[in-house]
Amino acid sequence: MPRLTKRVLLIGWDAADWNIIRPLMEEGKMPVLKRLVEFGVSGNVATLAPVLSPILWNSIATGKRGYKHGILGFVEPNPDGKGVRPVRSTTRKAKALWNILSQSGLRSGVVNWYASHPAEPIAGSVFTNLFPTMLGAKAERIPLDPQAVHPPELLDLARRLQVDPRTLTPLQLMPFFPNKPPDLSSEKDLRAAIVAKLMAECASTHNAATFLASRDDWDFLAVYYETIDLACHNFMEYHPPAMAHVSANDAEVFGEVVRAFYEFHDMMLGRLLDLAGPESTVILLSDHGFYNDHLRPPVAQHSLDPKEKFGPTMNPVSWHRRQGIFVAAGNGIKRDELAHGTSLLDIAPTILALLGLPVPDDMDGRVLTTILKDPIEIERIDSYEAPHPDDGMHRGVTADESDPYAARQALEQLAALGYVDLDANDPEKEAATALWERDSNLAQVYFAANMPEEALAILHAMLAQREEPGIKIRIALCFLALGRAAEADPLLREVVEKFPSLPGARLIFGRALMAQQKLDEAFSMLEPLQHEEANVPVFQAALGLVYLRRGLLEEAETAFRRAIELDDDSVEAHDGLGIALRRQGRFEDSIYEHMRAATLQHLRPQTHVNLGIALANSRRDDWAIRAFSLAAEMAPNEPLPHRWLAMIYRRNKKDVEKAREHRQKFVELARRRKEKKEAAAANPATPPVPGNG
Amino acid sequence: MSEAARNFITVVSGLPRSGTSLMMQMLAAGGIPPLTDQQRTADESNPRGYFEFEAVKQLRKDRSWLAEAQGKAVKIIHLLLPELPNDGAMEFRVILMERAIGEVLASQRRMLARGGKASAAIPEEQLGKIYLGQLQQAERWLASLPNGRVLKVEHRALLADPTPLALQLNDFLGGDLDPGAMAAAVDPSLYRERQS
Repeated sequence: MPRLTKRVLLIGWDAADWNIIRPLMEEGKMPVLKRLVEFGVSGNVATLAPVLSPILWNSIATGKRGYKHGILGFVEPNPDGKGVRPVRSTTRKAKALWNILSQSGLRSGVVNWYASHPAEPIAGSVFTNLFPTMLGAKAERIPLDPQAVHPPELLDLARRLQVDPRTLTPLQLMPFFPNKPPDLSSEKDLRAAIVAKLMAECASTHNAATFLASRDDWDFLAVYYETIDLACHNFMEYHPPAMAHVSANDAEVFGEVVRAFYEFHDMMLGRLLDLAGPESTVILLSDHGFYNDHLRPPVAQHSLDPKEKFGPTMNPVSWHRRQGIFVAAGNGIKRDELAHGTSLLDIAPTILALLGLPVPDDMDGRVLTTILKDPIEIERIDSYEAPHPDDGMHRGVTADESDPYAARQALEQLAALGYVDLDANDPEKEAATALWERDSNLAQVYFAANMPEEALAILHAMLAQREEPGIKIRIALCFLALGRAAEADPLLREVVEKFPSLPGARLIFGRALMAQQKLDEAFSMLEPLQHEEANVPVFQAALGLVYLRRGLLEEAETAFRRAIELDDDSVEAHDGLGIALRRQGRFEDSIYEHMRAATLQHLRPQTHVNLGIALANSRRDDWAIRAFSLAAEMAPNEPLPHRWLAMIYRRNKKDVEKAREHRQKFVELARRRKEKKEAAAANPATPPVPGNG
Repeated sequence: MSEAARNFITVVSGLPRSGTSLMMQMLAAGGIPPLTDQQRTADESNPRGYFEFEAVKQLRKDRSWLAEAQGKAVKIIHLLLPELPNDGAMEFRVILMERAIGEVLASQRRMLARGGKASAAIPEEQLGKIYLGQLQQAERWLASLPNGRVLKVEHRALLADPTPLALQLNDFLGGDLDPGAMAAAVDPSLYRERQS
């Protein structure tokens, strides 16, 4: 495969969002990014569920979903069962880009990537995600861990590249408070200190990045900046328009912090681009966006303590928007165009193709050929995962070091044998919590990957440990995805009866009722939510679906449009609107809405099916075939795309052979689905838990 | 040497089901009283008893009972060895039982099954590697113990011919034990999950 570029610079800006960036670019406050966008391609990138950064950045680096790469949370149990530690590179089960490049004779630099600690001995250099942090939670000095840097000769230099937040002066922090300076005399108000810490850690990351970029010995440099996400979690409530609970003084003091960090990132970007040089290709992306408008989640009470601020039921992840940013420019990339339908999983295969390396079939993403200037012939291989002496993966670690979850299992066996006591100590409860969250995240990863059976097995095991309504709801969602709505019904009915104030449960119960053709009951479940949750897009979209099922097309259109008005990123609303429009004979508008949905989230098979139907209705058979084929590829067990393909090939293309092939496929898949449903209905036993491997 | 004169604590350690209870029986027969509270009584997994002391499980938080262990033998699982004080104030003589990992895993599996409990949800091969890693860590810690001595005893060898090991134990523990009684305490018929 020909190499399309001398080198690739991959920059991660966690949580960066076009909704903040576009106004800044228009104001001339982010000139570097503006030039990059004009010079290359740009668009949204769809995140993955669960929207947790360690999982997402490792999906970006490996091209694989979380169940394959194994990084499933922020922390993992310590192998000895005492407490938790940040998730480590030894836990990652799949090779990252830098491992693949290392074994392929190429050199990489890695700076601050999530779960990159301890540093892997790749061909190149690594500053791990532990490198930027000099101060702990109680402002105690943390010495730089020698394992945070590879090769070891860089350790002394690394210490000099770290920026100590305590050395930053008020003058250096003033750009973050242009309207009014904060009160630095208060010991209780740590907000200015948070800005200093974020600034220092960002600068440390940038120091390491520019040091590596300035050396002319790299083929790939991956730099991750966490700062925008942290700044947003701490200060987005003050961002104009400040949220209702924010005082006028706080809005004045802290209202520009988020934008100031964006401007700082633009300046850093400029320096990195200069160092990378004109023969490089740059990819800049975020893993998700961040709500900055009316969709910011409500705050329970004004407090500096996140637990108090958000209350026990609020989750910081609810601030994450599903669309992140994606920009690519330089060698091999088109100029001044929009990029559509990008997923986080597409980055690794695309970078391999840019560097002239084969793309493995076991990556879950695809090469973004639509952004490349010239067509390429992609060379494929099965996988890079076989051990290679030069891949730089950690070898020779103890079994418990490489899999702390297995180590925890061993500990639990010792407890079951009666030799250790797991209940006595808080550190062990922390480890148990980490295990619980890991299982919960893994179930979400499987569900998002259209693998509801695997998710179901994990959720059943979790339910056996704790009878929580949230787990029952998730089990019900799995049943719905498997076409087994009747099994979801009793679970949801119980949750709704016990917890009538949980609108989410009623929403999903409504869907289950619709799936069972109990439309009147579904309507009476969902219709009140139209008013109770008038400003929540997901409820409006759900109502739209009920109207669709009842054939009330105009009402459905109104509900979907209301959802879109509230949240233009709602994939479900755009797709649902597309169906409502198609049924009213408005095919062009329908196609537009389905394409909008596909642009927002490419990896959603039902959108491509719906688009295919709209295209077939408007006699665009070739495009319809492409849409259905894509859906079939994404959901290989789904019969519906094959039914449509059979019909199109038979009626319109007169290709009897292809029509027969798809008809047979449809019949086979439909039969298998029916058998599974009948087997499950006859024996609704709890499925066994899959292995942790 | 009387219990009062024996100014060290005899620790019997190893993986669960590596022969630690057997060793405790031997030492009791030979003249070192066990520190035990009899909370876990004999059963099919250990027909002659467990010789355990419940407070051992709280070793991380509470070491006050160690004073009571002076001159006696106490069973402490390998994982908890690093919780022993290593300031040199107390002397420990550690008997570390060794048994083929396959036999250990099989024995643990059977014991759990008898108790109606589930085994760890990971492959036994992986579990075995984890245990061996834990043992290595424990041995490294023992090597650093300022006032400690370690004697490894192989389970299969003990059951095949206890007499030489009984003599070795006697030497290790001060020389005033009854090696004949210790050897006689070993009942080869209790050697289950034997693997060739």
